[in-house]
Amino acid sequence: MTDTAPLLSVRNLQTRFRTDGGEVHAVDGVSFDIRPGQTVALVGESGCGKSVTSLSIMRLLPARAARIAGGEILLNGENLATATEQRMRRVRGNDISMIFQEPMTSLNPVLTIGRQIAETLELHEGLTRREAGEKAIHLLASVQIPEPKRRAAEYPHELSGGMRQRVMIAIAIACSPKLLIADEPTTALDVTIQAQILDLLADLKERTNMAMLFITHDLGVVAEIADHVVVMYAGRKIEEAPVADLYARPRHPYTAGLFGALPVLGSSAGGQTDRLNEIPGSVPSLRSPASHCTFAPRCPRSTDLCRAEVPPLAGQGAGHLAACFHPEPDQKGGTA
Amino acid sequence: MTTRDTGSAGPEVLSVQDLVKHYPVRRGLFAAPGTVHAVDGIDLRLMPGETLGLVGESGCGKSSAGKTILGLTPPTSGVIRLNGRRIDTLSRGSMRPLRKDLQVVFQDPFSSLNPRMTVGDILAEPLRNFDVVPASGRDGRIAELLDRVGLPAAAAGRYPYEFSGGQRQRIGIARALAPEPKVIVCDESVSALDVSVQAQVINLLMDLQRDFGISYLFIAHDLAVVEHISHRVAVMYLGRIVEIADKAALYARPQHPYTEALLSAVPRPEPGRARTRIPLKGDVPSPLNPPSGCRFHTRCPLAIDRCRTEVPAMTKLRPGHSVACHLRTPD
Amino acid sequence: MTDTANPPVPATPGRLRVMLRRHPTILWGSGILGLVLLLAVLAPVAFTADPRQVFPLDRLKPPTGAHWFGTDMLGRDIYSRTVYGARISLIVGFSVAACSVAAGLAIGLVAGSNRWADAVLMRILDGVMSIPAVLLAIALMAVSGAGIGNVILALTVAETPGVARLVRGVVLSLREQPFIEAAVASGSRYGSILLRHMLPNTVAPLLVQGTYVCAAAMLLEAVLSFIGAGTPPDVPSWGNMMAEGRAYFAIAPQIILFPGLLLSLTVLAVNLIGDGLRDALDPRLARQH
Repeated sequence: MTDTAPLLSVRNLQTRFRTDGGEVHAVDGVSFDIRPGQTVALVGESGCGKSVTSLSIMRLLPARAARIAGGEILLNGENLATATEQRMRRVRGNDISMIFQEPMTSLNPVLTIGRQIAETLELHEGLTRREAGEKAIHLLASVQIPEPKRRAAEYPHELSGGMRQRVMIAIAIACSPKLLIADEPTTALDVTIQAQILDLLADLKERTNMAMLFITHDLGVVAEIADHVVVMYAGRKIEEAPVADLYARPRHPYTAGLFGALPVLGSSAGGQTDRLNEIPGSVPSLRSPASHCTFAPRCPRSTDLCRAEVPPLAGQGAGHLAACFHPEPDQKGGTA
Repeated sequence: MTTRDTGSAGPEVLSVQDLVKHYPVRRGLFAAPGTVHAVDGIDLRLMPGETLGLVGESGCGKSSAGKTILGLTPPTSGVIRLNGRRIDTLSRGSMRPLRKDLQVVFQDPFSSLNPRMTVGDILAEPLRNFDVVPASGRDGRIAELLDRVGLPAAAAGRYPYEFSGGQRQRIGIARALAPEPKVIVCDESVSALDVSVQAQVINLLMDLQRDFGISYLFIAHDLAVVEHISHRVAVMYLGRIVEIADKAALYARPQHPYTEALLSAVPRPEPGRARTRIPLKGDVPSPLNPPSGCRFHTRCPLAIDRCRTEVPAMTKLRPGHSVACHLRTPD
Repeated sequence: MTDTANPPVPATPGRLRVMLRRHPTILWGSGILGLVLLLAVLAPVAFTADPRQVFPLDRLKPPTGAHWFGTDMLGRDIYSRTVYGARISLIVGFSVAACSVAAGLAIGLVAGSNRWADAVLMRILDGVMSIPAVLLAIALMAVSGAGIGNVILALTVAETPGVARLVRGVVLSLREQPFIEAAVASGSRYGSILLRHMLPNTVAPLLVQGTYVCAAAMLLEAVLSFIGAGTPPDVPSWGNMMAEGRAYFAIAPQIILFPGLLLSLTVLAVNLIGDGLRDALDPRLARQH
């Protein structure tokens, strides 16, 4: 994969939020690449900065409260971090589009779904109303909505959550974007519906060679959909690796801890259920940029060094990086 | 209404027979009022020191079942017994002292604590209402409770907003623990928490069960969490229980096609694992107008004509494993 | 208003200071209101003459060193009358706010707790609310006669329905909250839930509503006095002063100007406090700290 040039390259991204207690470093020096056709998962617990990273790429941060304080967001070499708003309006939808956790809030309740998809097409592709209407039905069919013609005439409230997310995906892929950012797209859905949506996304990716940035907290979903994983903790990237390598050999104690804390299906097969591994304490506040490893206070492997310096990202094998002075030993069996 | 024991007391701490909960709804100004069939005849038995998992997708009625069992909303019909004593027919006043044995931990650690009360006041409420300890020993008991759920005694003087989500959930557990109950209904109690904190709370709940012999009715949608914490598991679909079994049997050899499909849909943290998903067509039908016969027949890959007309009865396949499906018969 | 003694959020000195710094309108409003209040309390010693004392030789004088705000058509000192008038306005404003908050709270709690009481009470309040406040007050004043007590009573009747509706809404939305269900599970009686869980959560919206009622009552009192249906004419209230000065506006504008200015300033101050409190106590904003 490394021979193709990256489609999107995020370099040392710094995003800060203004609050009464000072600036919060929500994203603190995050870097990663996405190549054409690749799915990169951004994983972490709430408040780790994964959603802020995606909003920074789309430049959809709340203007008054947040700013990109540094770094580059290179889309085919063009820096989106400094692009004009006018330019960004063309990038959104045409080059990068996004789907969210709650599709209802992203859909206009007073327009039929057919019209909403058609409007995107008229705006970005310059299609006539008639052409756009026909293509909208075609798109609904491509996201496997049964009876697309009838569904196109319905309003968002008439659809179930899973159907709405399909509509959002149809709108997102309407202009054949090069990159789809999916921010927890299945979190609000039931597990059987989630399975349908994950299959649909995998199928779309295969058909269109679209790259995907998939943001989630669910390690099961990551294993299903991602090629490459970036793990975030307290605003920083602490580990990244190809998906199979990360699950087999998690090197950062936080990643290893997450795997141990996860109840896994089939745990009762062996009779006795093991106690879950706890990560003591809770996520630190991001008020001040830490000059040490932010995970050190919760880490069983931490030493004085961890509390004094920020560990640099170091190679742990092919494409595998971890920001840790004392990484977990390289042995099989990370998935508890 | 007499509040005397109506007999048939079993060894179970909590039993539910043919519980039904319907909600009337108005669909529009001129539309005929409809009925949401939230819970449509479920049977459950909870043994001392046992965890019974109640799983299902949103809208299956598992939370309505929990609220009805807790007496927070009256049942439409059915019998609920706590320690062998019938509680569904009790007035608010006669129910109140019995609540000591039947506590609850909610999903949302933010809205389930009164923002204007200190943690000490929140924990003092059940202690005072149920007269668990004399007033003089209350502060000491609060400190004990906080310590038991892993919080410092100083937390008593602070307000809920000063705590993180996981800590708030510990406060909610301490409140449920305060009257020394026999049963705690956990309504999605760990669903809102991040994985690392969720593990802490699951471990805490299991430790408390080991130490105090509390029974849990553990309502959740996460099948892996339910498998981890439960002894037995009941699967709900559209207001009915479709399968109930010991967890090892249910997860290793699911019998109902819905249970099978549900388990196969769970994404596993094993990259490259061959997917053996049983795809389910479409969405869950509306509980306003549930399908006839077996409620799952509209999505079931194995449905036969009989499923469309005849409601399958709960059948015991082998000891401790029952299923409601026409295609499954005892070995 | 007794409610101010009961802070709506856990008030430590630090939190109060943060709240005031973030919402300076509260500080400005309180400052102005404090000055007016000080003048009113200290009226007898605040460099004033007897507001009813007539100086026949000094009629319709513009502001001078002896009469800071000038004199009216009977030669009475306008500064003294304005300062004493502040007493009437503040007494009426605060009393009406306190009484209608108390009455509205009681009605709202009952309506929010019982469906039958709700149906009856809300229809009655709908009826009261359909009559314009001024008309309602005039009608009540016609029945009960002029006097400060009756002004307060009439305005309280006019303002109570709004407060009651607010409290009812808060109670109904609180009943759906899990912490109320948790209190039921903890064995609390409904009375105790009302007192310990619901009441404290109504304080913040009531405090805000109370300031708006206070401001409205001050204005309405002036209107009633102005049209002769309020405080008796011998009482130096701002409404009475403006009514008396109406005929002389062309030659002695100071008679209307000063009480009018003070009235506007006081109402502004109360509204500033109300707006500031509304923002400061908004739970959506409160979450962030």
